[in-house]
Amino acid sequence: MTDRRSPLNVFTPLPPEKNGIADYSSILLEELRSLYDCTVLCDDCGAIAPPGVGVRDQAQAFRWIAPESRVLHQIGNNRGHLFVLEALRLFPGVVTIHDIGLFYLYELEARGIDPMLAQMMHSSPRLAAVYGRHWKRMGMKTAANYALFDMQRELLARSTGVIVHSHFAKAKLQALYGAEATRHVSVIPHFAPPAEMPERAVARQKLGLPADAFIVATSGFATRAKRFDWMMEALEQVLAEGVELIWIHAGEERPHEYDVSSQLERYPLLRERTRITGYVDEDALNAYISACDLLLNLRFPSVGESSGTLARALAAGRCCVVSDTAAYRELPREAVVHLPVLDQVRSLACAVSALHRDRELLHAFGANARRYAETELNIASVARRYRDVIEESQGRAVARPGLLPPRAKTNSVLVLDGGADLSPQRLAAALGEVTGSCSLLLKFSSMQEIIASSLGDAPLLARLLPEHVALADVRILAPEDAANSNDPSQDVLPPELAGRGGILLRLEVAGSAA
Amino acid sequence: MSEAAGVAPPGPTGVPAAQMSRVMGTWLARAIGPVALLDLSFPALNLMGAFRDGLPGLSDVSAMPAAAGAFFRRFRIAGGRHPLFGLGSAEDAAILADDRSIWSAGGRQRLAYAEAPVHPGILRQLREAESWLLLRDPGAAMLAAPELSELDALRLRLCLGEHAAEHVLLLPAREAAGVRHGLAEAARQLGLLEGDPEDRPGALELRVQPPPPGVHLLAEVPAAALIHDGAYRSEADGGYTWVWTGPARHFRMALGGLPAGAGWIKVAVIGVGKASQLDRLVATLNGVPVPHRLERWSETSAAVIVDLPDPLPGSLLLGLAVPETMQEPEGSRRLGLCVHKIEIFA
Repeated sequence: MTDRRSPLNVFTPLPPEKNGIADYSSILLEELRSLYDCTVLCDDCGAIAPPGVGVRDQAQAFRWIAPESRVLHQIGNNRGHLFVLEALRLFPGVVTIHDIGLFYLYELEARGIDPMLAQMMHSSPRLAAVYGRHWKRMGMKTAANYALFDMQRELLARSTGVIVHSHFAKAKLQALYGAEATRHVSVIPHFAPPAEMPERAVARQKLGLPADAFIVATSGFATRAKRFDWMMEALEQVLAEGVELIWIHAGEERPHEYDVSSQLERYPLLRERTRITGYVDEDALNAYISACDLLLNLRFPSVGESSGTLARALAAGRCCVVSDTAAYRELPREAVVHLPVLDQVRSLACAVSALHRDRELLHAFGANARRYAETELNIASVARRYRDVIEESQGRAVARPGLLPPRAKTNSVLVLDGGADLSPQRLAAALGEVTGSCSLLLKFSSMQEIIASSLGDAPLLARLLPEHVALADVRILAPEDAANSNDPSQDVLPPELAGRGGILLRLEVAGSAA
Repeated sequence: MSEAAGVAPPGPTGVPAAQMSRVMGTWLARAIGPVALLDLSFPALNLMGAFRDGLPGLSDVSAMPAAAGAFFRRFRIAGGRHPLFGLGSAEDAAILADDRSIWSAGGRQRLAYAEAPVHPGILRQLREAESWLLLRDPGAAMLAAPELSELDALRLRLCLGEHAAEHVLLLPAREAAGVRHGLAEAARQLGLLEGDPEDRPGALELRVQPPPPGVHLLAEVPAAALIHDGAYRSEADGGYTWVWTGPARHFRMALGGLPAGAGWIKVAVIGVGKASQLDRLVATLNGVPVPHRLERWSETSAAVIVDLPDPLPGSLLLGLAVPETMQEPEGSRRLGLCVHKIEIFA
């Protein structure tokens, strides 16, 4: 029988890489393979793909991708996705943005501060002037950079379709980049994985947990935004009120981000009832989720991220408590318990006590969660929605630079009017996607105009040039002499600009052609 | 999925191409003596495979898909000292000027070989180096003609069964008649000449025989001669050479167009940081994972054996990927495999 499925090339990490998006892709491919002839292009040729899905060396993707090929990129904010970002530049296609902030990913890619400043300028031109100066001149780089520079402009511009997991994420992109740049953004929620979840009693026996304890679980990398501080304080309060429970954190600690173990020392009651497992594989994670009564999944501040653990817990029919913020607000009120953003410690303590006391309420939330997972978050439905986005994107033709001969470097001179409209924003726009050496002529009609401009907003060049652009040479071409063909200073201009006057700059522009 | 256009050489591929190239190498060597070869047909390297020596390069990276060009830029030659020839004039000049290279060896006729149009900048370098140019694609010869207008062209044609490969040899006019005579004489001695060249002033034509069957060693490439991506510079103890892969996990070797009848490859891995790097090794051919066997010599050494596909592709990149690299005990390198040599068997 002829296989009529269209080929789909997917750039993504896969297990055994310890990466939530690798797990996500693996599960998604299990379903997508019924719709497409899927091939994963990965930087680990030993990656484990579902049966029937081939793995190939992503560095040799040019062998298999054609201009009309269907291409899907799965991108997240960690080192395992550097090759995906590079592939997106060479072979644009549909991209799933799992993290709405990608500052860290770009930071990993950039060699030195100037290329990073170039990317910041590209992402948020108005903010970059100030924050770039703070970083480069004063050594000030704070958490604000990670929040303010989401670095999504390049992804939006290069992709034929964009998938995000929440309406919050889409609205944020629309607010930052405008309707035109985001018209190809679609929302597909994070699916609930169709894994076989063990029964609660079986899971507890397997994990050596007491059959009758009230177990509260958390999971994943322990980061500051997951608010372990609030959780531990609230659980300590609950224990002090005489409510008995066990807390299990099924995930890896990241002491440099938030040191759970050392902070736990401050809560003696909780410390006696806590187990921190370290990194667990998918089976173990499922077992811990099945074993728990209550799953806590707080976020503050949230950048709109989704949670694979939460989706698993919903599918398992567990009662989940989340922060009432960002993408989590979109979860049905009857399917999860939403904690108000303000005073979360007290709210969480009240919620845990109430759910511990009222098991009927606890189980009602769990049943609703399971129903939500089986319908809206159903993997088959999610795969079909992926197919709709991929097929729709085929109508948006975009050149694939990786399949074209490299762009030849030109020695042409960029020209910008140097009058009253000259501004850092206009200069940044004129430089556009230029990287490396280039020449720029700021065109003036008279020396008087050059002087007025220079004095009016001194120092002119320091004010105009972005932080990632270095000035290599400056020449004043007196406009009054420009018409004189014997003027030797005119030799530096190409023939098509003969007779022009102004300030000729030779610039070194950092960046990676964002 | 089919392979994208733009990276496969024109004309016959696989066994016919490899056998024709081998015969061409033998023919040229017999007719003109020792040759300093610059093979611009990377990754196929058909003629270099026939001579088993020479400099590998690209004929015009600016005409290639950017992603292919970027990938080929990763490869190193000459024990890791240089990139491929053809990527930039400064690097190219350094490669040709390297007094350890065959290009600088005295007593050899310089010869560049290409299967696609050659960049004008490279043509100028070849003219300055007084190199002859052998082009498998007559169209490429036409494009080269304006740059090399002072050269004469000899047409050479090789036939194997229904396959035919047209070549043009560009060389100084003063030498053309003598070389044509020498080629005809060499072809006669090899017993492959088709027709009488005195009667036919056009192309010299050779009738190539298919390779004989048999199981034997076809080629052996020591570590120092590997064209690779993902390894450090080669090291040596006398004539014994080895190369450590790293810091990337994936080590790729360009094998070019393999000898006709090539059936399997053996990679001698004489050391690893820890045994699991061998246990969980992945082999790839042109980017696709393929099965392999380990002929274990010790916990940390083995021959990695990979069977080759039939028919052979026009060019072959063999990859070995380890699950992780290890910090070397003394030093700062992250290491994968220690490769001594590769052998290609029929």
